[in-house]
Amino acid sequence: VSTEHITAGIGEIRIGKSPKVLQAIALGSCVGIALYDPQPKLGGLSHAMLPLEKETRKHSYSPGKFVDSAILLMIHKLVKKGAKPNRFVSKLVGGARMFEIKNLDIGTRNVQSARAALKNAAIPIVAEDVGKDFGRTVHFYLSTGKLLIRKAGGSRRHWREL
Amino acid sequence: MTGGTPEDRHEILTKLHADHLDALQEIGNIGAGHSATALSQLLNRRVDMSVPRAAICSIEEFSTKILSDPEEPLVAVISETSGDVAMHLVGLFDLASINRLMWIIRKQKVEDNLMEISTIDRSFICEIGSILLLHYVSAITEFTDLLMFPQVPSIAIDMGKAILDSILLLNAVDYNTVLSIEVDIFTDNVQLNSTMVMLPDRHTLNRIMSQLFSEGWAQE
Repeated sequence: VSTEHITAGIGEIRIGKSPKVLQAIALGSCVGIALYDPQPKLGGLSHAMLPLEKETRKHSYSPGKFVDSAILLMIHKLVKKGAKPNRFVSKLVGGARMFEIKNLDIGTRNVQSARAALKNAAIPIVAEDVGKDFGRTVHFYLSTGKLLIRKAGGSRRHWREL
Repeated sequence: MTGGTPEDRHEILTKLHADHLDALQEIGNIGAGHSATALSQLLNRRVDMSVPRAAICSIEEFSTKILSDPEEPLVAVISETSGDVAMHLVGLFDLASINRLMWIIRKQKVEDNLMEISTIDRSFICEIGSILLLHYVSAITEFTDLLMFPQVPSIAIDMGKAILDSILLLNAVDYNTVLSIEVDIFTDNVQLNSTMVMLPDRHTLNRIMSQLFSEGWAQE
Protein backbone atom coordinates (compact mmCIF):
# COMPACT_ATOMS: atom_id res chain seq x y z
CA VAL A 1 0.00 0.00 0.00
CA SER A 2 1.57 3.26 -1.04
CA THR A 3 1.06 6.18 1.27
CA GLU A 4 0.88 9.72 0.02
CA HIS A 5 4.31 11.37 0.21
CA ILE A 6 4.33 15.13 0.57
CA THR A 7 7.59 16.83 -0.36
CA ALA A 8 8.96 19.83 1.48
CA GLY A 9 11.04 21.48 -1.24
CA ILE A 10 13.91 23.79 -0.45
CA GLY A 11 12.65 26.67 1.73
CA GLU A 12 9.27 25.01 2.29
CA ILE A 13 7.29 23.80 5.29
CA ARG A 14 4.82 20.92 5.00
CA ILE A 15 2.46 19.74 7.69
CA GLY A 16 0.14 16.76 7.82
CA LYS A 17 -1.58 14.09 9.83
CA SER A 18 -1.20 10.31 10.13
CA PRO A 19 -0.97 8.21 7.95
CA LYS A 20 0.68 10.69 5.62
CA VAL A 21 4.43 10.73 4.99
CA LEU A 22 6.38 13.95 4.68
CA GLN A 23 9.71 13.98 2.88
CA ALA A 24 12.71 16.19 2.12
CA ILE A 25 14.92 15.05 -0.74
CA ALA A 26 18.70 15.44 -0.82
CA LEU A 27 19.38 17.72 2.13
CA GLY A 28 22.94 19.03 1.90
CA SER A 29 23.80 21.99 4.10
CA CYS A 30 20.07 22.54 4.41
CA VAL A 31 18.53 21.24 7.59
CA GLY A 32 15.34 19.23 7.91
CA ILE A 33 13.40 19.95 11.09
CA ALA A 34 10.69 17.48 12.02
CA LEU A 35 8.12 18.51 14.63
CA TYR A 36 5.64 15.98 16.00
CA ASP A 37 2.70 15.95 18.37
CA PRO A 38 2.16 12.23 19.09
CA GLN A 39 -1.35 12.66 20.50
CA PRO A 40 -3.23 13.66 17.34
CA LYS A 41 -0.32 12.31 15.23
CA LEU A 42 0.19 15.69 13.65
CA GLY A 43 3.56 16.69 12.34
CA GLY A 44 5.51 19.12 10.21
CA LEU A 45 8.71 19.05 8.20
CA SER A 46 10.72 22.12 7.30
CA HIS A 47 13.49 22.17 4.66
CA ALA A 48 15.32 25.32 5.75
CA MET A 49 18.37 26.76 4.00
CA LEU A 50 19.93 29.44 6.15
CA PRO A 51 20.40 29.98 9.89
CA LEU A 52 18.85 33.34 10.76
CA GLU A 53 16.15 35.47 9.20
CA LYS A 54 17.71 38.71 10.44
CA GLU A 55 20.77 38.12 8.25
CA THR A 56 18.88 38.98 5.11
CA ARG A 57 18.96 42.60 3.95
CA LYS A 58 15.83 42.13 1.89
CA HIS A 59 12.48 41.84 3.53
CA SER A 60 10.84 39.49 1.11
CA TYR A 61 8.47 37.25 2.98
CA SER A 62 10.00 33.81 2.82
CA PRO A 63 10.05 32.55 6.42
CA GLY A 64 10.48 28.92 5.35
CA LYS A 65 13.95 29.71 4.06
CA PHE A 66 15.44 30.54 7.45
CA VAL A 67 15.76 28.02 10.25
CA ASP A 68 14.56 30.29 13.06
CA SER A 69 11.53 31.73 11.27
CA ALA A 70 10.66 28.36 9.74
CA ILE A 71 10.44 26.75 13.19
CA LEU A 72 8.19 29.50 14.53
CA LEU A 73 5.91 29.33 11.51
CA MET A 74 5.73 25.55 11.66
CA ILE A 75 4.74 25.64 15.34
CA HIS A 76 2.06 28.19 14.50
CA LYS A 77 0.68 26.09 11.64
CA LEU A 78 0.55 22.92 13.74
CA VAL A 79 -1.09 24.65 16.71
CA LYS A 80 -3.75 26.00 14.37
CA LYS A 81 -4.48 22.40 13.34
CA GLY A 82 -4.91 21.37 16.95
CA ALA A 83 -1.44 20.38 18.15
CA LYS A 84 -0.38 21.26 21.72
CA PRO A 85 3.05 22.93 22.05
CA ASN A 86 3.86 21.13 25.31
CA ARG A 87 3.55 17.76 23.55
CA PHE A 88 5.90 18.62 20.68
CA VAL A 89 9.06 16.61 20.09
CA SER A 90 11.56 17.38 17.35
CA LYS A 91 14.23 15.66 15.26
CA LEU A 92 16.97 17.22 13.16
CA VAL A 93 18.46 15.90 9.90
CA GLY A 94 21.03 17.34 7.50
CA GLY A 95 23.22 20.38 8.00
CA ALA A 96 26.18 18.70 6.31
CA ARG A 97 29.36 20.37 5.21
CA MET A 98 29.37 19.55 1.51
CA PHE A 99 32.58 21.37 0.56
CA GLU A 100 35.81 22.20 2.27
CA ILE A 101 35.39 25.84 1.37
CA LYS A 102 35.26 27.84 4.57
CA ASN A 103 32.39 30.14 3.62
CA LEU A 104 30.24 27.22 2.65
CA ASP A 105 30.00 25.69 6.11
CA ILE A 106 26.48 26.89 6.61
CA GLY A 107 25.37 23.40 7.60
CA THR A 108 26.88 23.64 11.07
CA ARG A 109 25.34 27.05 11.63
CA ASN A 110 21.96 25.79 10.46
CA VAL A 111 22.04 23.02 13.04
CA GLN A 112 23.11 25.39 15.83
CA SER A 113 20.36 27.80 14.90
CA ALA A 114 17.78 25.00 14.94
CA ARG A 115 18.91 23.83 18.38
CA ALA A 116 18.69 27.38 19.74
CA ALA A 117 15.25 28.08 18.26
CA LEU A 118 13.86 24.77 19.55
CA LYS A 119 15.31 25.44 22.99
CA ASN A 120 13.64 28.86 22.99
CA ALA A 121 10.35 27.23 22.15
CA ALA A 122 10.96 24.63 24.91
CA ILE A 123 10.69 21.75 22.41
CA PRO A 124 12.95 18.77 23.15
CA ILE A 125 15.15 17.38 20.37
CA VAL A 126 14.77 13.61 20.72
CA ALA A 127 17.07 12.56 17.86
CA GLU A 128 19.58 14.00 15.41
CA ASP A 129 21.40 12.85 12.28
CA VAL A 130 23.35 15.97 11.39
CA GLY A 131 26.69 17.30 10.18
CA LYS A 132 29.44 15.24 8.49
CA ASP A 133 30.00 15.65 4.77
CA PHE A 134 27.18 13.87 2.99
CA GLY A 135 23.66 14.58 1.79
CA ARG A 136 20.57 12.90 3.19
CA THR A 137 17.01 12.16 2.12
CA VAL A 138 14.46 11.89 4.91
CA HIS A 139 10.97 10.40 5.12
CA PHE A 140 8.84 11.36 8.13
CA TYR A 141 6.11 8.85 9.03
CA LEU A 142 3.31 10.70 10.76
CA SER A 143 1.68 7.45 11.89
CA THR A 144 4.62 6.71 14.20
CA GLY A 145 6.73 9.88 14.36
CA LYS A 146 9.68 7.87 13.02
CA LEU A 147 12.13 9.11 10.40
CA LEU A 148 13.81 7.01 7.74
CA ILE A 149 17.04 8.43 6.36
CA ARG A 150 19.28 7.42 3.48
CA LYS A 151 22.57 8.63 2.05
CA ALA A 152 23.71 8.87 -1.57
CA GLY A 153 24.99 5.84 -3.44
CA GLY A 154 24.82 2.18 -2.49
CA SER A 155 21.50 0.46 -2.43
CA ARG A 156 18.51 2.68 -2.55
CA ARG A 157 16.90 0.35 -0.02
CA HIS A 158 19.36 1.14 2.71
CA TRP A 159 17.37 3.20 5.18
CA ARG A 160 18.36 4.12 8.70
CA GLU A 161 15.66 4.63 11.30
CA LEU A 162 15.73 7.65 13.57
CA MET B 1 7.03 49.46 1.56
CA THR B 2 5.09 50.22 -1.61
CA GLY B 3 3.94 47.88 -4.33
CA GLY B 4 5.48 44.58 -5.33
CA THR B 5 7.95 42.58 -3.31
CA PRO B 6 11.16 44.46 -2.54
CA GLU B 7 13.03 41.81 -4.42
CA ASP B 8 11.40 42.91 -7.67
CA ARG B 9 12.39 46.55 -7.33
CA HIS B 10 15.86 47.61 -8.40
CA GLU B 11 16.60 43.96 -8.94
CA ILE B 12 19.53 43.55 -11.26
CA LEU B 13 18.17 40.34 -12.73
CA THR B 14 15.02 42.12 -13.94
CA LYS B 15 17.26 44.60 -15.78
CA LEU B 16 18.78 41.86 -17.91
CA HIS B 17 17.47 41.93 -21.47
CA ALA B 18 18.08 39.51 -24.31
CA ASP B 19 21.24 41.39 -25.32
CA HIS B 20 22.64 41.12 -21.83
CA LEU B 21 21.89 37.41 -21.64
CA ASP B 22 23.58 36.97 -25.02
CA ALA B 23 26.69 38.65 -23.66
CA LEU B 24 26.67 36.41 -20.61
CA GLN B 25 26.27 33.36 -22.82
CA GLU B 26 29.27 34.57 -24.79
CA ILE B 27 31.26 34.69 -21.56
CA GLY B 28 30.20 31.13 -20.86
CA ASN B 29 31.16 30.22 -24.39
CA ILE B 30 34.65 31.68 -24.08
CA GLY B 31 35.22 30.22 -20.63
CA ALA B 32 34.02 26.74 -21.50
CA GLY B 33 35.82 26.93 -24.84
CA HIS B 34 39.11 27.19 -23.02
CA SER B 35 38.11 24.39 -20.65
CA ALA B 36 37.22 22.20 -23.61
CA THR B 37 40.59 22.90 -25.24
CA ALA B 38 42.36 21.96 -22.03
CA LEU B 39 40.36 18.74 -21.78
CA SER B 40 41.03 17.97 -25.41
CA GLN B 41 44.79 18.30 -24.88
CA LEU B 42 44.64 16.28 -21.69
CA LEU B 43 42.77 13.42 -23.36
CA ASN B 44 44.23 13.84 -26.80
CA ARG B 45 40.86 13.62 -28.47
CA ARG B 46 38.18 15.79 -29.95
CA VAL B 47 36.03 17.66 -27.45
CA ASP B 48 32.82 19.51 -28.35
CA MET B 49 30.59 21.82 -26.44
CA SER B 50 26.96 22.85 -26.44
CA VAL B 51 25.52 26.30 -26.98
CA PRO B 52 25.70 28.01 -23.57
CA ARG B 53 22.53 28.67 -21.63
CA ALA B 54 22.23 31.79 -19.49
CA ALA B 55 19.07 31.55 -17.45
CA ILE B 56 17.41 33.11 -14.46
CA CYS B 57 15.45 30.75 -12.30
CA SER B 58 14.24 30.31 -8.75
CA ILE B 59 16.40 28.54 -6.22
CA GLU B 60 13.90 25.66 -6.11
CA GLU B 61 14.06 25.19 -9.88
CA PHE B 62 17.82 25.33 -10.21
CA SER B 63 18.69 21.73 -9.38
CA THR B 64 15.72 20.22 -11.23
CA LYS B 65 16.81 22.10 -14.34
CA ILE B 66 20.23 20.40 -14.30
CA LEU B 67 19.47 16.98 -12.79
CA SER B 68 17.11 14.27 -13.94
CA ASP B 69 17.25 12.52 -10.56
CA PRO B 70 17.89 14.67 -7.46
CA GLU B 71 19.44 11.76 -5.54
CA GLU B 72 21.73 10.46 -8.25
CA PRO B 73 25.38 10.68 -7.16
CA LEU B 74 27.35 13.35 -8.94
CA VAL B 75 30.89 14.62 -8.82
CA ALA B 76 31.21 18.38 -8.43
CA VAL B 77 34.40 20.38 -8.42
CA ILE B 78 33.80 23.89 -7.18
CA SER B 79 35.98 26.95 -7.13
CA GLU B 80 35.23 30.29 -5.58
CA THR B 81 36.85 33.39 -7.04
CA SER B 82 37.67 36.65 -5.36
CA GLY B 83 38.95 39.96 -6.76
CA ASP B 84 36.81 42.14 -9.06
CA VAL B 85 34.71 39.13 -9.81
CA ALA B 86 33.31 37.02 -7.00
CA MET B 87 31.48 33.95 -8.13
CA HIS B 88 31.21 30.22 -7.92
CA LEU B 89 32.28 28.02 -10.76
CA VAL B 90 31.20 24.41 -10.77
CA GLY B 91 32.23 21.49 -12.94
CA LEU B 92 29.77 18.58 -12.79
CA PHE B 93 30.44 15.00 -13.90
CA ASP B 94 28.34 11.83 -13.80
CA LEU B 95 29.68 8.40 -12.86
CA ALA B 96 29.98 7.14 -16.44
CA SER B 97 32.03 10.17 -17.43
CA ILE B 98 34.32 9.88 -14.44
CA ASN B 99 34.93 6.23 -15.27
CA ARG B 100 35.67 7.07 -18.86
CA LEU B 101 38.06 9.81 -17.77
CA MET B 102 39.91 7.51 -15.40
CA TRP B 103 40.11 4.89 -18.12
CA ILE B 104 41.57 7.23 -20.70
CA ILE B 105 44.14 8.74 -18.37
CA ARG B 106 45.02 5.98 -15.92
CA LYS B 107 43.74 2.87 -17.66
CA GLN B 108 41.78 2.24 -14.50
CA LYS B 109 38.14 2.09 -13.62
CA VAL B 110 36.79 3.61 -10.41
CA GLU B 111 34.34 1.84 -8.10
CA ASP B 112 30.82 1.31 -9.40
CA ASN B 113 29.75 3.05 -6.27
CA LEU B 114 31.01 6.60 -6.52
CA MET B 115 30.73 6.95 -2.77
CA GLU B 116 33.46 4.36 -2.24
CA ILE B 117 36.01 6.03 -4.46
CA SER B 118 39.58 6.08 -3.12
CA THR B 119 41.25 9.23 -1.78
CA ILE B 120 43.77 9.18 -4.61
CA ASP B 121 41.09 8.96 -7.29
CA ARG B 122 39.20 11.67 -5.51
CA SER B 123 42.06 14.13 -5.56
CA PHE B 124 42.94 13.10 -9.11
CA ILE B 125 39.42 13.97 -10.28
CA CYS B 126 39.54 17.19 -8.30
CA GLU B 127 42.75 18.07 -10.14
CA ILE B 128 41.18 17.51 -13.54
CA GLY B 129 38.16 19.58 -12.55
CA SER B 130 40.52 22.21 -11.30
CA ILE B 131 42.33 22.40 -14.64
CA LEU B 132 39.02 22.92 -16.43
CA LEU B 133 37.87 25.59 -13.98
CA LEU B 134 41.15 27.50 -14.07
CA HIS B 135 41.11 27.66 -17.85
CA TYR B 136 37.56 28.93 -17.68
CA VAL B 137 38.53 31.65 -15.22
CA SER B 138 41.58 32.83 -17.13
CA ALA B 139 39.53 33.10 -20.32
CA ILE B 140 36.96 35.32 -18.62
CA THR B 141 39.67 37.45 -17.06
CA GLU B 142 41.14 38.08 -20.49
CA PHE B 143 37.79 38.79 -22.10
CA THR B 144 36.37 41.14 -19.48
CA ASP B 145 39.63 42.65 -18.22
CA LEU B 146 38.40 42.06 -14.68
CA LEU B 147 40.60 40.51 -12.04
CA MET B 148 39.65 37.10 -10.71
CA PHE B 149 41.56 35.06 -8.17
CA PRO B 150 40.35 31.48 -8.06
CA GLN B 151 40.58 29.80 -4.68
CA VAL B 152 41.77 26.22 -4.25
CA PRO B 153 38.98 24.03 -5.63
CA SER B 154 37.04 21.61 -3.52
CA ILE B 155 35.38 18.36 -4.56
CA ALA B 156 32.12 16.82 -3.46
CA ILE B 157 30.74 13.44 -4.46
CA ASP B 158 27.15 13.12 -3.36
CA MET B 159 23.47 13.45 -4.23
CA GLY B 160 23.33 16.02 -7.03
CA LYS B 161 20.61 18.13 -5.46
CA ALA B 162 22.33 18.23 -2.07
CA ILE B 163 25.44 19.60 -3.78
CA LEU B 164 23.74 22.16 -6.00
CA ASP B 165 21.39 23.49 -3.31
CA SER B 166 24.33 23.91 -0.94
CA ILE B 167 26.25 25.96 -3.50
CA LEU B 168 23.32 28.34 -3.89
CA LEU B 169 23.07 29.12 -0.18
CA LEU B 170 25.42 32.09 -0.19
CA ASN B 171 23.47 33.87 -2.90
CA ALA B 172 20.22 32.91 -1.28
CA VAL B 173 20.55 35.05 1.84
CA ASP B 174 18.96 38.01 0.09
CA TYR B 175 17.37 36.54 -3.02
CA ASN B 176 15.14 33.76 -4.22
CA THR B 177 16.38 33.75 -7.79
CA VAL B 178 19.70 32.91 -9.32
CA LEU B 179 21.45 33.50 -12.63
CA SER B 180 23.40 30.57 -14.00
CA ILE B 181 25.39 30.18 -17.17
CA GLU B 182 25.71 26.53 -18.19
CA VAL B 183 27.66 24.80 -20.93
CA ASP B 184 27.98 21.08 -21.64
CA ILE B 185 31.37 19.75 -22.71
CA PHE B 186 31.49 16.29 -24.30
CA THR B 187 33.74 14.05 -26.36
CA ASP B 188 32.69 13.12 -29.89
CA ASN B 189 30.77 10.00 -28.96
CA VAL B 190 29.31 11.46 -25.77
CA GLN B 191 31.11 9.10 -23.45
CA LEU B 192 32.37 11.94 -21.41
CA ASN B 193 30.01 14.63 -20.29
CA SER B 194 30.58 17.58 -18.06
CA THR B 195 28.50 20.63 -17.28
CA MET B 196 30.26 23.83 -16.35
CA VAL B 197 28.10 26.18 -14.32
CA MET B 198 28.99 29.78 -13.54
CA LEU B 199 27.12 31.48 -10.70
CA PRO B 200 27.98 35.16 -10.36
CA ASP B 201 26.60 37.09 -7.39
CA ARG B 202 24.65 40.34 -7.88
CA HIS B 203 27.58 42.64 -7.30
CA THR B 204 29.74 40.70 -9.71
CA LEU B 205 27.05 40.69 -12.34
CA ASN B 206 26.87 44.47 -12.08
CA ARG B 207 30.64 44.71 -12.54
CA ILE B 208 30.60 42.45 -15.57
CA MET B 209 27.67 44.22 -17.20
CA SER B 210 29.08 47.71 -16.72
CA GLN B 211 32.40 46.51 -18.08
CA LEU B 212 30.79 45.07 -21.20
CA PHE B 213 28.10 47.66 -21.84
CA SER B 214 29.72 50.69 -20.20
CA GLU B 215 27.16 53.37 -21.12
CA GLY B 216 24.28 51.07 -21.84
CA TRP B 217 24.27 49.72 -18.32
CA ALA B 218 23.05 51.90 -15.47
CA GLN B 219 24.82 51.04 -12.23
CA GLU B 220 22.55 50.14 -9.36
